[in-house]
Amino acid sequence: MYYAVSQLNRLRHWGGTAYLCAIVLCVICMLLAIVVGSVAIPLPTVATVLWHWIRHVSAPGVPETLVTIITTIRLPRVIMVTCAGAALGGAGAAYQGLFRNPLADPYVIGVASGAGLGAISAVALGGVFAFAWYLMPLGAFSGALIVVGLVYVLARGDDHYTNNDLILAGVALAALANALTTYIMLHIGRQLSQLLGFLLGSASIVGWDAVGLMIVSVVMGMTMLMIAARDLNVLLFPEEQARFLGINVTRIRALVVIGATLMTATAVAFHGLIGFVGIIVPHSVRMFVGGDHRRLIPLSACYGAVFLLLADMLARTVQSPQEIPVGIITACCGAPFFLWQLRLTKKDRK
Amino acid sequence: MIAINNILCKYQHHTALFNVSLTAHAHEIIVCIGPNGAGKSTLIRAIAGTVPLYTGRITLEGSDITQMTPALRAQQIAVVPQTVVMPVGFRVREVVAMARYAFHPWYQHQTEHDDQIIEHAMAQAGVAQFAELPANQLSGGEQQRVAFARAIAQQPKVLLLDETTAHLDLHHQHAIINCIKALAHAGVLIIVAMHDINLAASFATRICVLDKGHLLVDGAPVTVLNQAFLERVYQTPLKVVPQSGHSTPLFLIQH
Repeated sequence: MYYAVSQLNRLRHWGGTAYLCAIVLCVICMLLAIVVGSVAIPLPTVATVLWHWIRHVSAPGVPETLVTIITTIRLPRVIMVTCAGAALGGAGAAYQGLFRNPLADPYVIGVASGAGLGAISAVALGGVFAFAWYLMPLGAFSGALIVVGLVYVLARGDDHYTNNDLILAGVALAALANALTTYIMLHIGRQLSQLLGFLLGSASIVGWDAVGLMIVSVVMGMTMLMIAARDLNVLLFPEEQARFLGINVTRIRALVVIGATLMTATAVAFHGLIGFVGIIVPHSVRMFVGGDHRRLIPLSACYGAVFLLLADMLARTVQSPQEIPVGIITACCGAPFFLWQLRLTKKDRK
Repeated sequence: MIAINNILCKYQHHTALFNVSLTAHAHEIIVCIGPNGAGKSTLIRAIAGTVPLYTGRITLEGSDITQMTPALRAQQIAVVPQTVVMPVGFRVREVVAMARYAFHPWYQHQTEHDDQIIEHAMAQAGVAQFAELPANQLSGGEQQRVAFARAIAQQPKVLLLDETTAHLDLHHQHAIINCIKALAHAGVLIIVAMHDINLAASFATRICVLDKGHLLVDGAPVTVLNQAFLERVYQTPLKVVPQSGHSTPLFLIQH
């Protein structure tokens, strides 16, 4: 016990520094992510291009190709990955608090299954309608929101509902969505590699429209989570005790579910199902700054962005010029992390 | 101060309280006793506003408690629950500070006044020495005292305690009871649900006996606690041992 006490008190002092580290790391990783790629671009060139691009003037002495690569391919992608990492990290911390379960992740109430069904439906419809690659993210986003909306409505019933109601409704609807996904997959029999890439998680090339949508949804979702963050601390106690302490449990739960789902659904729509970010990052951050969601959620979002940027860089460079799905990298980090956690927990119990 | 008027509480198909009425005032310490399933905890939860009332109403200084917002209710009524499991990653001080959430909107920080209240509550409950320790690493009795400190930090008009002393050793039972007496003296209405009749008699100003959801008797310990009545309620033969200097005798199980 004294080991745990000294560890907790020592690490608590990291609170302030953790924010600074997160911001510095995030900026460094974003710059690195623009530098690294099939065509390596020197950091000064990146800085010059970005500086001139912000001021809407052309960078002198930099080839137009490099400017195009930086401003239309790498920069939107890096911002998207940053936002997706922040969304998954922040949503993971919020869901773990809401469900009082360290294994809860952003996909816990059917986001993944809904997104899968939405994406495959979009691919199936792709044969009928001709409007392009945009259909799949749109399908995934709609599917995720529809399934989570249904889960929420079914669990809510006559106003009062518990976390278990949400999880049970989520499991049932996820099973149904998975069954429908498999059925449609068997019938369309085409574009399966694209779909598999989506299911494994990937950061494909996106335009600035998508970046705008992603930023808006992350800002909205994080605002909702930060409004709920303080009261989410009390929800770590059984629901009735939270009510004793004056918490409007129904309102806080709705804020968390809507905020976290909005962020997750947007991340899934553009990057597919990237696993483990929402589990690993909040766990690690909690070890350093404690369980208070007012610190945990924003820091998990920052470190989630850092983690996904690093994973994305690896995914792009490990088999360069070929890219591997980023979900493979996050999963490869996730499994050893769990084993390490298990070891630590056992050690602490002793 | 609190008027419980003819309330009926149900859990799905089981009725836990039948037409219970009770009036209580500041400075009183009311202890509810009765066999398992008598409805003691339900009464506590009904006053706290977490159990729906099928009939009747409960008012606190004239205001219907079911019409209050959760935050407003928490500013006036605090509860120490029967079992407390502390969350991971929080120090004792942080857990006690949660009592002050109901007093501020989400964007406002804890004030210096809140800090003083928290310090005072921890000192009163005897957990000040654990303030910086992780709350989930404390023993069951210590966690119970943290929950007691959290309830005091709400600075309630009504303090409800559900079997609070059950996990405590004799020293801490004594300390908590002294603290309860001090709070009652300061004007807080205390309502306690417990099983220990002798302990109840030692500090209650009124005792309510509940059985199968009915309020059987409500009065001063000396009038309520008599052998024949308690034997009938608990369906257990009791031995009575007179105590010098006390108005009530000790009730022991006759083996």
